[in-house]
Amino acid sequence: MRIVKGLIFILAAVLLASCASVNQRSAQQAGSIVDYLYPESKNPPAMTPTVTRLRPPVRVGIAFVPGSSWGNGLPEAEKIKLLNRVKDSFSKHAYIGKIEVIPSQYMRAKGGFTNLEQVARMFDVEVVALLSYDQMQFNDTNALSVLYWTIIGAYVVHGDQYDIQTMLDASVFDVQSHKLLFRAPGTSQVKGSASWANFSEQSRAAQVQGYNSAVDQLIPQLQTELDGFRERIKNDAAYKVENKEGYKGGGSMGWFSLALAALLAGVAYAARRTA
Amino acid sequence: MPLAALPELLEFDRHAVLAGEAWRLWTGHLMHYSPQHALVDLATGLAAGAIALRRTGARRLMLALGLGAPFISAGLLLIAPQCQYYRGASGIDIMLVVLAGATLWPGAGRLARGALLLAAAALAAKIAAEALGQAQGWSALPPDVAIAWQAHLLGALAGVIAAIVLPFNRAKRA
Repeated sequence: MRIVKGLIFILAAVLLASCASVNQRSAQQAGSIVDYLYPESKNPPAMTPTVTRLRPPVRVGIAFVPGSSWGNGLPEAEKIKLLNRVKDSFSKHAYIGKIEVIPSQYMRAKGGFTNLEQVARMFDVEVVALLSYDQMQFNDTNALSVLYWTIIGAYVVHGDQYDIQTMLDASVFDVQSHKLLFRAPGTSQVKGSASWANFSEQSRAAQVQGYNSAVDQLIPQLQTELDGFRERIKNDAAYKVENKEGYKGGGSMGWFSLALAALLAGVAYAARRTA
Repeated sequence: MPLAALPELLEFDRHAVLAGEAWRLWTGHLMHYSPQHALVDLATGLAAGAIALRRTGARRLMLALGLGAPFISAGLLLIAPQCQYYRGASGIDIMLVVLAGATLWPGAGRLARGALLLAAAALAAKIAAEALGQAQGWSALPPDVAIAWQAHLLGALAGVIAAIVLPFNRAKRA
């Protein structure tokens, strides 16, 4: 009888201990922009210097880079919420016209620029902001997990810990020239603990929180990049701003006209002195 | 009516002009996209206007301005059909610059005439660069606003016409 009791005790210990470590030690969700735009590419893509033509107000599409496998990443509703937040940061700029949020269903994994061009045509956009992501979740048990033995402890005691690190990157591409116009990153780290019974639910919520925090950090950086890009295209020969049908025109010669007026004033002054 | 709505009421708006809002042919030149845009245009207009005023007199100068503004706007209607909206006084400024140059020409010495010819060539080159889309960075316009180079061309043309048609006191050559 003692031997049987001993065996039951050992079996229970093994089973309960395995309960405590039933969660995966780590998990990753990733949607890589390189995998999406340059699939199976062993050699670096050849870039030919071209002039990128922008016709304000520019029509912009915003999309998440598709993950490598189905179900990878956030639920679609959460993705749309995040994309709408990024959309708001674009809409503050006068030179940006229509902004379209592109659902993930239209993005094909490893679709490359062919898929990007198809989607851009479908949504009638000229520039696409692609949000790539890499979220790493590390799971550990702490000393309190020993109380899972009490069964009730599995529901009450926070014996499991998670550490979720998220990296988001918004890369803005001109679809026609395939040129990266600018990019802005956002990162976050979310740490927490949960009971064994609630671990999945809480860590899923923490994953969403990780994405939200990364977007919080990304948006100000995106604003800075947008402002910088607006100034850069004025002087960079690689970009050309062209008129679009129904454009707004302005009469402005800038400092050139003042220089002309100053030259005329000089001639007038000289003429008066010699008169 | 809120003050913020005033620019929309006074700017050159192709559809509104064609619908009968004729005042926009004049007032569009007084509206600007930014304070910097307005200041540069105002400073140029004052300087060139002051030079032209000495020879043309106030009445003729006002006549040139009164006819030049709708000439440029009507020209935009004809030669820039894609330009839906227009703001800025640079077309008028160019007209005044050309008129001022023309008033200075008779009394100018060789060196001064050389400077005036150089200015004329620079102006022509600037308008050509704008027409080719190479001068967006030189303007004080917001990025979503394209330079209406046609307004500058029409302003130069209006200046030449004003210099030929308007009689002004020609100074003797030094």
